[in-house]
Amino acid sequence: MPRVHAFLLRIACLVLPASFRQDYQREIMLVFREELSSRSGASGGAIRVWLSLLPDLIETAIREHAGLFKSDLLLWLRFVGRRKAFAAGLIGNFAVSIALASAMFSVTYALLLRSLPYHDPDRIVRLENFPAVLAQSNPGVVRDWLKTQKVFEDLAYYSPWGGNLEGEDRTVRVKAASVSGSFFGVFGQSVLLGSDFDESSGAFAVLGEQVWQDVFGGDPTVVGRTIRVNGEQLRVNGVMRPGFRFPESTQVWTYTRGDETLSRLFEEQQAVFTFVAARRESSVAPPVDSGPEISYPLAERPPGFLSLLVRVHGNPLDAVRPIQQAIRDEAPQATVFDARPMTEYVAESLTSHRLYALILGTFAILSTATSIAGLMSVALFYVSSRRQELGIRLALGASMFRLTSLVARQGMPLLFAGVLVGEVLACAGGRGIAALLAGVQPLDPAVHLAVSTALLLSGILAMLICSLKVIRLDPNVTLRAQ
Amino acid sequence: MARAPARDPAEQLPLSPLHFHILIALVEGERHGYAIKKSIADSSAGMLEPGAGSLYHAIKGLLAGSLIEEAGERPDPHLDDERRRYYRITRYGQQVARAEAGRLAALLRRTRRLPGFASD
Repeated sequence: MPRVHAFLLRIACLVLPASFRQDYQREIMLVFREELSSRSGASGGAIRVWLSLLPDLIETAIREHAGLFKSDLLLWLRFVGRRKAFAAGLIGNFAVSIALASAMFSVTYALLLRSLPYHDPDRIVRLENFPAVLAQSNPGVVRDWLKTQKVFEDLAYYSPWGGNLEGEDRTVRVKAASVSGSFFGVFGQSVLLGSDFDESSGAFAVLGEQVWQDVFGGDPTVVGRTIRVNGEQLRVNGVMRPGFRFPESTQVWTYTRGDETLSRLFEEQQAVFTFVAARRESSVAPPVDSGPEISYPLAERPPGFLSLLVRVHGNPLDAVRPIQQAIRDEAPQATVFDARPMTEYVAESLTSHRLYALILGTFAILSTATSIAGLMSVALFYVSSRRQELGIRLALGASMFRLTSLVARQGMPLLFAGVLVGEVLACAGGRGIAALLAGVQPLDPAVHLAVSTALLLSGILAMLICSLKVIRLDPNVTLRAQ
Repeated sequence: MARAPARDPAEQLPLSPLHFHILIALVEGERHGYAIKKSIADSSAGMLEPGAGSLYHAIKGLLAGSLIEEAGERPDPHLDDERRRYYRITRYGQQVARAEAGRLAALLRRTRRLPGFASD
């Protein structure tokens, strides 16, 4: 048989269980060789042999694995039936370990490791206390300056406030923010339902996913309906994706576009504050006739200052100085401070949370290590309880590989049962934590997968190490000890 | 030493077509895997051509049920000098094969009595 066929057949045989391969792979290869030689004269003979062999091997592999699983399961059920307390202890230990570690790591991951849910958060600069008076006193200057600058890619403002959102059957207090039309674009965010702020006139709102679920029961027809916040009627344009709550756990973002031009608004003193938000690409010249993008009269909420968000090209700190300089030039009395990249701003606001998360993470690692140690002890007990059986198998000539894989395979159902129960507990606990802590996802797949995999592998490793410990003993000694 | 109680061949019935054909192939004498496969293809007029995996899965099952046993390894004089594992049918396997043949014969007789199934 040509070497390439032999090599490919060895690879194909890997789908079969190791024990079956050990007993029959050589015979299967001999049959295959005869098949090949009997069809060597026919055109495409080798391909036909392969096409008939591969499905057959897969079918055989499924049957063999199913047979092994069935016998392992029966053996496991007999074992569990004899040692109910042990099985319950192992599953319980494993389940509680997974549940606790998942919960603790979810919090740690959300606060310490996961990056902000924004597109390139390190390129967003937040300027606190941008003087609204600057825009009011000479809006044209600000607008022109924004037109000519080449540093920003996108720019938006926001002004947080709180309001009463009237739902169908109840009114809830929500955190809201008046934002510019480019607000979500700066964060690189898109809505879950509907659209963000469009170009038509009127007052709009985008709802947060949580308030959409809590107040409107996740009803998708809320998009297009009119809601009332503080008595003000707003048309719901869309629902934001889960996780986005900027600023300060905001659940309603509002935006008003008037027909009036910016200058008219100022001339007539209709606006208490207005601001210009402009979108500029460094490589694209700004349109000459570009007018104000938004204007928002909010007589009932006179702000002294705004918060400005700028998405910049390159190093965000390079953009801060020109912004501050431009403001100083136009309004010497104004001081813009707290101009920092978004990542830094968020990091500072999370300092105390991060400390708790660090402590929690340390405890999570310690508890996981303790769980693994406990698992090792239980595994040692499990393997030791089968010492006589393993000794007999060893004396009858079973290889060390077969015995260790047998022990690991038969311990797997216990471990899987533990993972299953643990995941159910972790999900239930995670929902409680998510309700208490913003940004913690109860079903964070990365955390759950990592914790379950780590503990499962530790369990398998513990079984293997303990079985090796027993198997390495002299079978005579092992048997005599019973 | 106490002898193991005799097993009832009826416990194994009905046999799958592949298991039955393997037993029939081995009634004629000891054979290795490829020879069993050829014999099955011949006796079933090409209707049953098990793949190597299915064949050895069936052989494994028959060995586990003590219907066949290994008869050592030796080269096939007709093929080459490579050593092959031979199998032979056991006494119990012969009883099971006879019981299966009887079951099939009874089924055939009953079928032939049905309208439209009578042999010419």
